[in-house]
Amino acid sequence: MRGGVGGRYDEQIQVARGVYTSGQSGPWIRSGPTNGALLVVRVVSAGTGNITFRIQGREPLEQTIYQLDQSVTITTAGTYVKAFGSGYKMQPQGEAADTTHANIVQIVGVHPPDEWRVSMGKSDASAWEFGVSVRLVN
Amino acid sequence: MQVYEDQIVLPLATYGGAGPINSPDQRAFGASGLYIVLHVKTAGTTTLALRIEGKEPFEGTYYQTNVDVTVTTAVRHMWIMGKDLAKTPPGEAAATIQSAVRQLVAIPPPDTFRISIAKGDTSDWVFGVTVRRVP
Repeated sequence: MRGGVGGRYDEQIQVARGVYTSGQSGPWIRSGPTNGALLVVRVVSAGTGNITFRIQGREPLEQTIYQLDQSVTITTAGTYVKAFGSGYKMQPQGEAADTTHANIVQIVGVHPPDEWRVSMGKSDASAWEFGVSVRLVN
Repeated sequence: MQVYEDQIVLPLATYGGAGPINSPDQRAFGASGLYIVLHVKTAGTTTLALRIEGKEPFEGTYYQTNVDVTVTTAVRHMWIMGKDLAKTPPGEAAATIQSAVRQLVAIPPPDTFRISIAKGDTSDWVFGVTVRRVP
């Protein structure tokens, strides 16, 4: 499935924009033929403390949830992007320095597991307004 | 849908003023990479910088994905976005692509994006920009 609007590779809202006082997770994503993703967190307004931006996998034997990446800690409003998938890098070979902007907060350079989701943790009960989207890539 | 062919996102024209000059919003349409050409026909004074800006879906704000690389000359300049990019692949002694490839940006293209050309001053530049979506 490729091209056109409404396909598997179009951006999908994982956590609707809203005001949240507790952590939020998106629905489970089945990777299928996809090899990666671009994950976007938009923080419209920040509360106190911090929120953490992380990717979780789920194993099929006992349905246990494991964290795959290193958490990115967010303390201010803005746009935070992770690139997820093998073959992505901040500094491609032959480039003198990082070529990605500071908005790209992390490259998770491994293939996605079969089942995964985006999870946002919160350090306290203050109100944060944010949303999360994912675009799968082949 | 002919999404894998070159598309003109900023027509060849004279662009004066302070800028930036922004293309209309583009969709990735399933592409795993982008091949972007900034064709400068006549250079102005100072510099141009090409920015690949994603558009987040919650407020519609744009975020820059690549760091600025400035150009000053009237030639074709290229930016390539995607995965497994290398100017100097492992085993090669030196870069195997031409220096007109200004930047490799090794992340997936955003679903909705635009090309933004930042100008160093208000002088006239003649240029155009094309985008090829890479499957």
